[in-house]
Amino acid sequence: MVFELTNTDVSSANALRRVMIAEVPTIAIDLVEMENNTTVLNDEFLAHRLGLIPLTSDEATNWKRPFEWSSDHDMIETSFSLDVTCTVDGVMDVTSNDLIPMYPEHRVQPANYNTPEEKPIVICKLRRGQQLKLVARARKGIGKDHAKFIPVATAVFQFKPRIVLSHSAMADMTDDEKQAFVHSDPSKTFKFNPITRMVRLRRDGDWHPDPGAG
Amino acid sequence: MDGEATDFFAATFSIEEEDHTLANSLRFFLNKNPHVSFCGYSMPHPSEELVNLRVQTTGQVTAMQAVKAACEDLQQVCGHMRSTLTSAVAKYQQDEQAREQQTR
Repeated sequence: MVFELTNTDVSSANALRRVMIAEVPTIAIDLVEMENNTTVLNDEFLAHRLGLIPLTSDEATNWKRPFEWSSDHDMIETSFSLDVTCTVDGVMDVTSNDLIPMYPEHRVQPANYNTPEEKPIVICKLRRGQQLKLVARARKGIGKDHAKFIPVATAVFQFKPRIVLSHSAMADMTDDEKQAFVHSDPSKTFKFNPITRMVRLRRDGDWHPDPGAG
Repeated sequence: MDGEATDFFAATFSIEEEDHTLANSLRFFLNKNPHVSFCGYSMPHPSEELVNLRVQTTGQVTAMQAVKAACEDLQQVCGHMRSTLTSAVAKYQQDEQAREQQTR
Protein backbone atom coordinates (compact mmCIF):
# COMPACT_ATOMS: atom_id res chain seq x y z
CA MET A 1 0.00 0.00 0.00
CA VAL A 2 1.23 3.47 -0.85
CA PHE A 3 -0.12 6.41 1.11
CA GLU A 4 -0.51 9.91 -0.33
CA LEU A 5 -0.82 12.85 2.02
CA THR A 6 -2.31 15.95 0.44
CA ASN A 7 -3.27 19.45 1.57
CA THR A 8 -0.96 19.43 4.54
CA ASP A 9 2.34 20.90 5.59
CA VAL A 10 5.87 19.55 5.81
CA SER A 11 5.76 19.70 9.59
CA SER A 12 2.73 17.41 9.81
CA ALA A 13 4.29 14.93 7.41
CA ASN A 14 7.57 15.06 9.30
CA ALA A 15 5.84 14.66 12.65
CA LEU A 16 4.01 11.63 11.29
CA ARG A 17 7.28 10.18 10.04
CA ARG A 18 9.05 10.81 13.37
CA VAL A 19 6.23 9.23 15.34
CA MET A 20 6.18 6.19 13.05
CA ILE A 21 9.86 5.59 13.68
CA ALA A 22 10.24 6.48 17.35
CA GLU A 23 6.92 6.30 19.13
CA VAL A 24 4.77 3.49 17.78
CA PRO A 25 4.90 0.75 20.42
CA THR A 26 6.01 -2.76 19.53
CA ILE A 27 6.89 -5.92 21.39
CA ALA A 28 10.42 -7.32 21.40
CA ILE A 29 12.51 -9.64 23.54
CA ASP A 30 13.92 -7.62 26.41
CA LEU A 31 15.24 -10.14 28.94
CA VAL A 32 17.02 -13.43 28.27
CA GLU A 33 17.68 -16.07 30.94
CA MET A 34 20.40 -18.40 29.73
CA GLU A 35 20.32 -21.95 30.99
CA ASN A 36 22.92 -23.52 28.76
CA ASN A 37 25.03 -21.96 26.04
CA THR A 38 27.80 -23.99 24.49
CA THR A 39 27.64 -22.23 21.13
CA VAL A 40 30.44 -20.19 19.60
CA LEU A 41 28.58 -16.93 20.37
CA ASN A 42 28.60 -15.51 23.89
CA ASP A 43 25.53 -14.86 26.02
CA GLU A 44 25.11 -11.13 25.51
CA PHE A 45 25.71 -11.49 21.78
CA LEU A 46 22.88 -14.00 21.54
CA ALA A 47 20.64 -11.86 23.76
CA HIS A 48 21.26 -8.89 21.46
CA ARG A 49 20.36 -10.95 18.40
CA LEU A 50 17.22 -12.28 20.07
CA GLY A 51 16.13 -8.74 20.89
CA LEU A 52 16.32 -7.74 17.25
CA ILE A 53 13.93 -10.48 16.11
CA PRO A 54 10.63 -8.87 15.06
CA LEU A 55 7.60 -10.17 16.96
CA THR A 56 3.98 -9.78 15.91
CA SER A 57 2.87 -6.73 17.86
CA ASP A 58 -0.83 -6.37 17.24
CA GLU A 59 -1.31 -6.73 21.00
CA ALA A 60 1.11 -3.90 21.77
CA THR A 61 -1.61 -1.32 22.29
CA ASN A 62 -3.20 -3.42 25.04
CA TRP A 63 0.04 -3.95 26.93
CA LYS A 64 1.73 -1.66 29.41
CA ARG A 65 5.41 -0.70 29.25
CA PRO A 66 7.75 -2.01 31.99
CA PHE A 67 7.94 1.18 34.09
CA GLU A 68 4.41 2.36 33.38
CA TRP A 69 1.83 2.13 36.12
CA SER A 70 -0.04 -1.16 35.73
CA SER A 71 -2.45 -3.21 37.76
CA ASP A 72 -2.48 -6.97 38.18
CA HIS A 73 -4.78 -7.35 35.19
CA ASP A 74 -2.52 -5.60 32.70
CA MET A 75 -0.30 -7.49 30.29
CA ILE A 76 3.34 -6.54 30.51
CA GLU A 77 5.30 -9.48 29.19
CA THR A 78 5.25 -12.88 27.56
CA SER A 79 7.89 -15.60 27.34
CA PHE A 80 9.51 -17.78 24.72
CA SER A 81 11.57 -20.90 25.31
CA LEU A 82 14.38 -22.12 23.11
CA ASP A 83 15.98 -25.54 23.50
CA VAL A 84 18.12 -26.76 20.63
CA THR A 85 20.87 -29.39 20.68
CA CYS A 86 22.80 -30.33 17.59
CA THR A 87 22.84 -34.10 17.21
CA VAL A 88 23.80 -34.37 13.53
CA ASP A 89 27.19 -34.08 11.93
CA GLY A 90 27.53 -30.79 10.19
CA VAL A 91 26.14 -27.33 10.87
CA MET A 92 22.66 -26.87 12.31
CA ASP A 93 20.85 -23.53 12.27
CA VAL A 94 19.02 -22.20 15.30
CA THR A 95 16.30 -20.03 13.79
CA SER A 96 13.37 -17.91 14.92
CA ASN A 97 11.13 -20.93 14.25
CA ASP A 98 12.76 -22.62 17.26
CA LEU A 99 11.46 -19.92 19.62
CA ILE A 100 8.43 -21.56 21.20
CA PRO A 101 5.86 -19.23 22.77
CA MET A 102 5.19 -20.37 26.32
CA TYR A 103 1.78 -18.65 26.26
CA PRO A 104 0.34 -18.99 22.76
CA GLU A 105 -2.88 -17.31 23.90
CA HIS A 106 -0.98 -14.00 24.08
CA ARG A 107 -0.75 -14.12 20.28
CA VAL A 108 2.84 -12.91 20.21
CA GLN A 109 5.18 -14.85 18.01
CA PRO A 110 8.18 -14.17 15.75
CA ALA A 111 7.32 -12.65 12.37
CA ASN A 112 6.75 -15.26 9.66
CA TYR A 113 6.68 -17.95 12.33
CA ASN A 114 6.72 -21.40 10.71
CA THR A 115 5.82 -19.91 7.35
CA PRO A 116 7.15 -22.31 4.72
CA GLU A 117 7.45 -19.66 1.97
CA GLU A 118 9.59 -17.34 4.08
CA LYS A 119 13.08 -18.06 5.36
CA PRO A 120 13.28 -17.81 9.16
CA ILE A 121 15.79 -15.59 10.94
CA VAL A 122 18.99 -17.44 11.89
CA ILE A 123 19.98 -16.84 15.51
CA CYS A 124 23.13 -18.92 15.55
CA LYS A 125 24.69 -22.06 14.10
CA LEU A 126 25.56 -25.21 16.05
CA ARG A 127 28.06 -27.97 15.58
CA ARG A 128 27.60 -31.49 16.83
CA GLY A 129 27.27 -31.53 20.63
CA GLN A 130 26.63 -27.80 21.07
CA GLN A 131 23.49 -26.78 22.85
CA LEU A 132 21.48 -23.62 23.40
CA LYS A 133 18.79 -23.49 26.07
CA LEU A 134 17.18 -20.28 27.27
CA VAL A 135 13.99 -18.46 28.25
CA ALA A 136 13.36 -15.10 26.62
CA ARG A 137 10.91 -12.51 27.94
CA ALA A 138 9.34 -10.05 25.55
CA ARG A 139 8.09 -6.62 26.60
CA LYS A 140 6.51 -3.56 25.07
CA GLY A 141 8.67 -0.61 24.10
CA ILE A 142 9.05 2.29 21.68
CA GLY A 143 11.77 3.22 19.20
CA LYS A 144 13.11 5.93 21.52
CA ASP A 145 14.03 3.28 24.11
CA HIS A 146 15.91 0.94 21.80
CA ALA A 147 16.18 0.48 18.06
CA LYS A 148 14.79 -3.07 18.30
CA PHE A 149 11.37 -1.57 19.01
CA ILE A 150 11.27 0.39 15.74
CA PRO A 151 8.37 -1.07 13.75
CA VAL A 152 9.36 0.28 10.33
CA ALA A 153 12.35 -0.62 8.22
CA THR A 154 12.43 3.04 7.36
CA ALA A 155 9.92 5.83 6.94
CA VAL A 156 10.50 8.52 4.36
CA PHE A 157 8.37 11.10 2.72
CA GLN A 158 8.90 12.86 -0.56
CA PHE A 159 7.32 15.79 -2.29
CA LYS A 160 5.36 14.78 -5.32
CA PRO A 161 6.14 17.37 -8.00
CA ARG A 162 3.50 18.79 -10.26
CA ILE A 163 4.84 18.68 -13.80
CA VAL A 164 3.14 20.93 -16.33
CA LEU A 165 4.39 20.80 -19.91
CA SER A 166 4.29 23.98 -21.91
CA HIS A 167 2.38 23.38 -25.13
CA SER A 168 3.61 26.59 -26.68
CA ALA A 169 7.22 25.53 -26.15
CA MET A 170 6.42 22.12 -27.59
CA ALA A 171 4.99 23.70 -30.73
CA ASP A 172 8.30 25.47 -31.31
CA MET A 173 10.39 22.30 -30.98
CA THR A 174 11.15 19.89 -33.80
CA ASP A 175 10.47 16.18 -33.45
CA ASP A 176 14.15 15.43 -32.95
CA GLU A 177 14.38 18.01 -30.21
CA LYS A 178 11.35 16.50 -28.50
CA GLN A 179 12.86 13.03 -28.66
CA ALA A 180 16.15 14.32 -27.32
CA PHE A 181 14.24 15.92 -24.45
CA VAL A 182 12.48 12.64 -23.66
CA HIS A 183 15.71 10.63 -23.83
CA SER A 184 17.60 13.07 -21.62
CA ASP A 185 15.66 11.95 -18.54
CA PRO A 186 17.16 8.77 -17.04
CA SER A 187 13.97 8.06 -15.07
CA LYS A 188 11.93 8.12 -18.29
CA THR A 189 9.20 10.39 -16.94
CA PHE A 190 8.13 11.52 -20.41
CA LYS A 191 7.03 9.73 -23.49
CA PHE A 192 7.01 10.92 -27.07
CA ASN A 193 4.02 10.01 -29.13
CA PRO A 194 5.08 9.99 -32.84
CA ILE A 195 1.49 10.08 -34.13
CA THR A 196 0.41 13.23 -32.35
CA ARG A 197 4.03 14.47 -32.11
CA MET A 198 3.46 15.47 -28.49
CA VAL A 199 5.41 14.84 -25.32
CA ARG A 200 3.39 13.66 -22.38
CA LEU A 201 3.95 12.24 -18.92
CA ARG A 202 4.48 8.53 -18.91
CA ARG A 203 2.48 7.42 -15.90
CA ASP A 204 -0.11 9.99 -14.91
CA GLY A 205 2.30 12.27 -13.09
CA ASP A 206 4.28 9.66 -11.19
CA TRP A 207 7.81 10.79 -10.62
CA HIS A 208 10.61 8.82 -9.10
CA PRO A 209 14.05 10.15 -8.24
CA ASP A 210 17.06 8.95 -10.23
CA PRO A 211 18.16 5.58 -8.87
CA GLY A 212 21.77 6.69 -8.95
CA ALA A 213 21.17 10.05 -7.27
CA GLY A 214 20.82 10.84 -3.57
CA MET B 1 5.57 28.82 33.42
CA ASP B 2 4.82 30.96 36.48
CA GLY B 3 1.22 31.18 37.59
CA GLU B 4 0.80 34.94 37.20
CA ALA B 5 2.21 34.99 33.69
CA THR B 6 -0.90 33.67 31.98
CA ASP B 7 -1.97 37.10 30.74
CA PHE B 8 1.26 38.02 28.95
CA PHE B 9 1.28 38.70 25.25
CA ALA B 10 4.78 37.32 24.74
CA ALA B 11 6.17 34.25 26.44
CA THR B 12 8.69 31.48 26.17
CA PHE B 13 7.36 28.02 26.93
CA SER B 14 9.86 25.43 28.10
CA ILE B 15 8.48 22.01 27.23
CA GLU B 16 10.16 18.98 28.73
CA GLU B 17 10.25 15.46 27.25
CA GLU B 18 9.43 16.78 23.78
CA ASP B 19 11.37 17.25 20.58
CA HIS B 20 10.90 18.43 17.00
CA THR B 21 7.93 16.14 16.48
CA LEU B 22 5.64 18.29 18.60
CA ALA B 23 7.49 21.60 18.48
CA ASN B 24 7.63 21.97 14.70
CA SER B 25 3.94 21.05 14.31
CA LEU B 26 2.95 23.53 17.05
CA ARG B 27 5.05 26.22 15.42
CA PHE B 28 3.27 25.64 12.12
CA PHE B 29 -0.18 25.93 13.66
CA LEU B 30 0.84 28.98 15.68
CA ASN B 31 2.05 30.71 12.53
CA LYS B 32 -1.34 30.12 10.95
CA ASN B 33 -2.93 32.13 13.76
CA PRO B 34 -3.39 35.76 12.54
CA HIS B 35 -2.93 37.13 16.07
CA VAL B 36 0.57 35.69 16.43
CA SER B 37 3.30 38.09 15.34
CA PHE B 38 6.26 35.85 16.04
CA CYS B 39 6.71 32.18 16.75
CA GLY B 40 9.80 30.03 16.85
CA TYR B 41 11.30 27.13 18.73
CA SER B 42 14.77 25.97 19.62
CA MET B 43 16.38 23.00 21.28
CA PRO B 44 19.06 24.16 23.72
CA HIS B 45 20.92 20.86 23.38
CA PRO B 46 20.06 17.77 21.35
CA SER B 47 20.96 15.38 24.16
CA GLU B 48 18.49 17.04 26.50
CA GLU B 49 14.80 16.55 25.74
CA LEU B 50 13.85 20.18 26.18
CA VAL B 51 12.21 22.59 23.74
CA ASN B 52 11.87 26.36 24.13
CA LEU B 53 8.85 27.69 22.24
CA ARG B 54 8.74 31.49 21.89
CA VAL B 55 5.38 33.11 21.10
CA GLN B 56 4.71 36.84 20.64
CA THR B 57 1.18 38.00 19.88
CA THR B 58 -0.32 41.25 18.55
CA GLY B 59 -2.15 41.85 21.83
CA GLN B 60 -5.56 40.51 20.88
CA VAL B 61 -4.91 37.13 22.49
CA THR B 62 -2.52 36.08 25.22
CA ALA B 63 0.38 33.81 24.38
CA MET B 64 -1.21 31.05 26.47
CA GLN B 65 -4.44 31.22 24.47
CA ALA B 66 -2.54 31.10 21.19
CA VAL B 67 -0.64 27.97 22.19
CA LYS B 68 -3.83 26.37 23.50
CA ALA B 69 -5.59 27.06 20.21
CA ALA B 70 -2.63 25.62 18.27
CA CYS B 71 -2.74 22.44 20.37
CA GLU B 72 -6.46 22.07 19.72
CA ASP B 73 -5.95 22.60 15.99
CA LEU B 74 -3.22 19.96 15.99
CA GLN B 75 -5.55 17.57 17.79
CA GLN B 76 -8.27 18.15 15.21
CA VAL B 77 -5.89 17.65 12.30
CA CYS B 78 -4.61 14.40 13.80
CA GLY B 79 -8.16 13.19 14.37
CA HIS B 80 -9.05 14.02 10.79
CA MET B 81 -5.95 12.24 9.47
CA ARG B 82 -6.82 9.19 11.53
CA SER B 83 -10.42 8.98 10.32
CA THR B 84 -9.41 9.62 6.70
CA LEU B 85 -6.80 6.89 6.94
CA THR B 86 -9.20 4.40 8.52
CA SER B 87 -11.86 4.97 5.89
CA ALA B 88 -9.32 4.91 3.03
CA VAL B 89 -7.84 1.60 4.23
CA ALA B 90 -11.32 0.09 4.66
CA LYS B 91 -12.29 1.21 1.17
CA TYR B 92 -9.05 -0.17 -0.28
CA GLN B 93 -9.66 -3.54 1.35
CA GLN B 94 -13.22 -3.58 0.07
CA ASP B 95 -12.01 -2.85 -3.46
CA GLU B 96 -9.42 -5.63 -3.16
CA GLN B 97 -12.06 -8.13 -2.10
CA ALA B 98 -14.35 -7.06 -4.93
CA ARG B 99 -11.50 -7.42 -7.42
CA GLU B 100 -10.65 -10.89 -6.10
CA GLN B 101 -14.23 -12.00 -6.45
CA GLN B 102 -14.37 -10.69 -9.99
CA THR B 103 -11.25 -12.56 -11.08
CA ARG B 104 -12.52 -15.82 -9.63
